[in-house]
Amino acid sequence: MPSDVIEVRSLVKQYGDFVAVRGLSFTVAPGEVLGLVGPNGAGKTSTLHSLAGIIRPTSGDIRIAGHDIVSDPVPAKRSLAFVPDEPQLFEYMTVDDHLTFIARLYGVPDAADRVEPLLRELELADKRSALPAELSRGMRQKLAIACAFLHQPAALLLDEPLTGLDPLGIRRMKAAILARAHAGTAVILSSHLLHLVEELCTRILIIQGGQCMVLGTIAEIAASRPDLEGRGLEELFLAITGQDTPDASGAGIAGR
Amino acid sequence: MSASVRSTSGTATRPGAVSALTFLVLRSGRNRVRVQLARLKNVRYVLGLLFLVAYFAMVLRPDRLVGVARRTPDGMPSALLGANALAISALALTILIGYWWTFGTKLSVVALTRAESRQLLPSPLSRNQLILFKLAKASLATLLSALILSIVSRRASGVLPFPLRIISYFVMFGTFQLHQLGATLTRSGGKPVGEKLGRRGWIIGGIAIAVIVFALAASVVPAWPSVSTAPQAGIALDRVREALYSMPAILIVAPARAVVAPLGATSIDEWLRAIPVAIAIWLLHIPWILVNRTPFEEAAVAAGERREAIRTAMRAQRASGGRGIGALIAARAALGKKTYVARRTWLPLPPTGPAWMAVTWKNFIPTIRQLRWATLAIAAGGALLIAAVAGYTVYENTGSIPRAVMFSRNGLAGMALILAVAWTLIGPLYTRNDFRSDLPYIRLLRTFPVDSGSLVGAQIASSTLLIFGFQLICLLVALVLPMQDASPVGSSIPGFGQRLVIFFALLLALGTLDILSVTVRNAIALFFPGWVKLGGEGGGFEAIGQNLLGTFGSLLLLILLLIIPAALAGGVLYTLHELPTVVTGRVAIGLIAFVGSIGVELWFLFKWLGTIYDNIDASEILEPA
Repeated sequence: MPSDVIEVRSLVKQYGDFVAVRGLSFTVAPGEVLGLVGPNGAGKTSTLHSLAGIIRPTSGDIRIAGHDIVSDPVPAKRSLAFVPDEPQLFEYMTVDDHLTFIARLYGVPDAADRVEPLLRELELADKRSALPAELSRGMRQKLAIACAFLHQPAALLLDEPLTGLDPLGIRRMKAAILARAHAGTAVILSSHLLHLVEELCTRILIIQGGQCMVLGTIAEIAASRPDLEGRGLEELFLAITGQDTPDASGAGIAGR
Repeated sequence: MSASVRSTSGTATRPGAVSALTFLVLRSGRNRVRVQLARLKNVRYVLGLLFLVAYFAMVLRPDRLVGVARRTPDGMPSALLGANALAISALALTILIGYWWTFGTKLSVVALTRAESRQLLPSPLSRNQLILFKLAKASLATLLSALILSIVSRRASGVLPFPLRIISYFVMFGTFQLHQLGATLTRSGGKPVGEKLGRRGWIIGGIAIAVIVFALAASVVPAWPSVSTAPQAGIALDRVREALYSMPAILIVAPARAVVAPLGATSIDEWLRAIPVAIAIWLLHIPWILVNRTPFEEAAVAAGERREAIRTAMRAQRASGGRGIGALIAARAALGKKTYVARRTWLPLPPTGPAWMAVTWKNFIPTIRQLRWATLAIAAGGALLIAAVAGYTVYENTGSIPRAVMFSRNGLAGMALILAVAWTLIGPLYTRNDFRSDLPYIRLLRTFPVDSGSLVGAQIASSTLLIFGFQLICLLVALVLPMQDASPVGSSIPGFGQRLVIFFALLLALGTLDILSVTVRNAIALFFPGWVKLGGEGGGFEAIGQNLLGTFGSLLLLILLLIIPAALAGGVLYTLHELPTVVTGRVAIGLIAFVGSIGVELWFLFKWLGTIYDNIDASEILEPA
């Protein structure tokens, strides 16, 4: 068992002439929650899609649980789960059908024992026979997350996982993510909700223009910028990405 | 500022609406073409374009659009549709119209896209303008179909020049497309399209079926003795045509015949007489649709509200102890909305085993959920009715019940056999629960822990098994039902042993063709995901030309794929022909070589298509709405 579940080395993703990710390197250990943040167009989705095996990196190495996602994709994918920002569900499959399908796809022999507590945890127990069209946006998101949790992956990639959830749902989802991390899952969480990232993540990776701006705990990041000592993640983020101008703070608009 | 621009900010004026919608269509079309052409940066699409050009050059020969055409034996230019073909086409279309009145359709032609419903419904456009806009858009696809069919049929007739053929096809497809829409809207009688109509649906459908069956039976049954005793097939068809054109059948066949008649014209003068009638029928459909537009509006506007109301009712049902699918049904019933309900899945999937089987299982679910048992039952009932009528006429002629039963059973077996064989061509076109439906989910598929070759196999197996399953049932009917007796017809029926051999040979042949045909269609989708139509529906009447083109292309590729197995099997048979083995042994070895080589071919093909799948840029494909 490797010490780091997710290993990324010199990741580059290029679309034609446009370079979305430029030589990104980082690792995520079991039980760690890495927050992936950056402004729009920073390369977060390209990074997550490369990690999930959705797109092929232009160069660099990605290893999930010791397996290369490009040369050895099946074992690598068996060890990971990806929850996209917009849940993709099959329109004629009920909640139960989705979980049955995922259980077989990932070979979960004790699926029957896992499904019931999972549905209760995500408040989907009374929706088992519902089709995606009959679920609210938040419920659809929960179903996508249930599918991701079912096979207890070693690596969990979450792209804006709390979109569409109500306050209670957000609280429960945060607890669910932390529970997986405490059980040893390596989690990458991408979100624009910086207070959420601050609350859940053990380390932060801020990227901009496809490049790593900073990587470390909030304390480590703050230590690298003495002028920002004692500030929260939001201020750190805006300062590091060069967006902390007076206009960006909203003061300009408010004053008009 | 121009008048059209002013109108978008003030009250809606007709020129403003028209120019805005025209701008939308033209600009979207231009940008779509640009995007499609931009795909030519990818070598796959360049190869596709080259194949398309070669295909047109070799098969369709545009340079011969006005070239030598088919002529009658006496040297006269022949019509596109002969008199009998015209009558049979009119009959087939009348039956199709009866189907639309009985079951309705999905109305994909006028269904608003998500962007249209969000942007156009709240805009200052009248409903009539919106419907006319959708119809005009659909007409573009119909025009393309007419163009393709005019090219394909260029040598079938020397009567109609190319432009007249396009007009004839366009009016015909346009009329039936509008009739499909009008029938569905009228059936719904003000209810949102898609909702079950209950008694109203059954009454309208029952009347439609009763009128068609009564009119046809009243004309064809009395004529059947002369048809069945005709010395030649051509004479039998002449007599069928005469029966269809006699009272009362002519009353229901005449409208469809009038619309198809321009294609059956034997001279320009005849065409000039036929086309105004066809155009008039076509144009009369437009006010009919506009008068019945309420259900269309309802379907688009009220969908969101309805869904929310059902959710609320379901919450209430569940709070009071209702669970599962029962709560959904109860909630809908409480709202008086007996809409589509998900059936329970009876197909089990154990949690362990090959992962690719999960993909095939997943692809079966939509079919199970959407299967319309009533349609199947009515189709089977219709076949039984036809066989019973045929048997009755035999009884009238011979007075022998056993002979009538034999005739009916053999007739049913014959229909089942024809359907099984025809399904090899039609099935892959409409059974799309493979990559054609799944590629919009590529971002999700890519995360599955299944190697790409197996995923390709699983997708192709999904459609193939469904097509083959249906054919298997038809072939079993054709195997079991036939009866022999001493009459000339009865003695020509092969015995059970011979039928068994034919049964297995057809199973093998049709199964092979099915898998190759589905593979070819999936290969096209994988090679050109940005160019082909993806999603569960393959297009309706408006896409008939494009579908035909796709079918021809698939057949061409199919023939290429069959060359090596056929050559190998032929070589084996030739090599063994002098050996002292029995014929069946040689044939069996030849078949093994044939099937084995196809298996090897498919194995390589799946692996290769797997690499194509791996290399698809996900941005080529639009995500599901």
